[in-house]
Amino acid sequence: MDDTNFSDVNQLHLMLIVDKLPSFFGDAAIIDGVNLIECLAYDIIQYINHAFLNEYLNGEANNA
Amino acid sequence: MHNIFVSPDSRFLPIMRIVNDALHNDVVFWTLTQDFSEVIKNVDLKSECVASLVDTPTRGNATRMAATIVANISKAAQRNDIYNVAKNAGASIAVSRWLNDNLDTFMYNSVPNIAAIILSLNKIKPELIIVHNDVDTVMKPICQWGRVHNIPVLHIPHAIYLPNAGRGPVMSDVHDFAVATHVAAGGPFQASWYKERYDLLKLGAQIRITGLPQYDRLANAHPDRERSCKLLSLDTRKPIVVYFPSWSQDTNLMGCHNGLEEAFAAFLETTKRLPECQFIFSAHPNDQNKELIKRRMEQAKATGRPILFCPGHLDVMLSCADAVISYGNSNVLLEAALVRTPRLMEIGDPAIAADIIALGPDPDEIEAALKDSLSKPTPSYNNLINKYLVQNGGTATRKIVDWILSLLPKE
Repeated sequence: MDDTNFSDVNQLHLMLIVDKLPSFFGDAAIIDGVNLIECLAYDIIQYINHAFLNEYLNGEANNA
Repeated sequence: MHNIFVSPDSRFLPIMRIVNDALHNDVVFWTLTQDFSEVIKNVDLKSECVASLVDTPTRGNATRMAATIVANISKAAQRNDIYNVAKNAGASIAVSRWLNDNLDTFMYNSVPNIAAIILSLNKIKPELIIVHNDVDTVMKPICQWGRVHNIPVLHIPHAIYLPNAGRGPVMSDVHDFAVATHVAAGGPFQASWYKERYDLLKLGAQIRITGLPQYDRLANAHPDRERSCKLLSLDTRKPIVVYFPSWSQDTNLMGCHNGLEEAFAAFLETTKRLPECQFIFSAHPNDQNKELIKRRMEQAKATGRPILFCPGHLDVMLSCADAVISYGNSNVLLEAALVRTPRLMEIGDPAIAADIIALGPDPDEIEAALKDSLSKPTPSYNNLINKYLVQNGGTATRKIVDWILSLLPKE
């Protein structure tokens, strides 16, 4: 597997969580000044990395 | 009575004891888990668990907050809005689908707990927050809460993020998003690492090079090879090679190329080629997965070589090692340098200092490097140590305590 494009994908995944998802939560996601979406980034990114990898590996397997 | 929050980390116990003495026993250490609270009490300190404040009204309040958030997401998901936003931003179908279909369930599980912790912090009103990381899903909200409420948040890192082929550029990794207000840095490299990120985040933070408490024990270490060999039933006359495999963290896609497996396979092949050496496999403290270790043991057994599996006893292993090989740039290289392990090698990353031998996951390379280097004199490692650590005689704990006392409100 080539790591080169993974850097871009990783940045995209972080950008989704930090920049795109908050619009779906609104002010409700800020509790006492704490932005819950930012705080959950550590877990969310692991889930979507796994989703990405499964898809990527299945694609490689299908192309093999 | 002073109230200090500490994250569950045994490195903090000596710090807590000295702080407690300086405050004449007038301090309660709040922490997250009942287990760690008991550990603190066992060293005769006062401790309470944050969970003890999560009463029924607090839990209900937290759940209502979570329900509002989950409802917002569910509505968006029903319209496929999350899928479309993620897909249009360039995410893969699987990622866009996961976010659209699973985020609400994930949040419903996670948010009430975090909300309850935040609501409890408001009751405790700690004067200081001390954490071992400021990135994971529980620590980060606590640190953010401290920053928002002008309460000092002292981050005493559990490790130094070393240059690593898998980490990617600055701000591409979730660990780059620092939030603590004060950082006790292990050395010049770590201080610069955090300064660069805080500058990019436009966040103010005090970063002070104190050294890290986990290295204090090694500053004046006198490794006793003979004793360590006896403890591990190893022959003092034969070279000893210890392999440190790292672990799969999954917060970053870089390095998802089966590197752990490739390097381990190369290590096992090497053991077959060097019958004069003794080999130890050290499981990573964050990867004590029994099934994985069992699989590794079966793979090792298939080599026909006796390989000692050692899930702990780090200092004993370092005391008797003639060579340490780590997968990637691991903090164990720094610890091994402090005890002057004769030869340091790593597989898969660029070398972080001239005295470290960088290898590929190639048995030929590893075999040649071991044969070539085991008879050579031990390097000083001064360049490595001076860049990543501080030679402070093992006084990091004391320096951090002094800082903590200066951060507490004056009576």
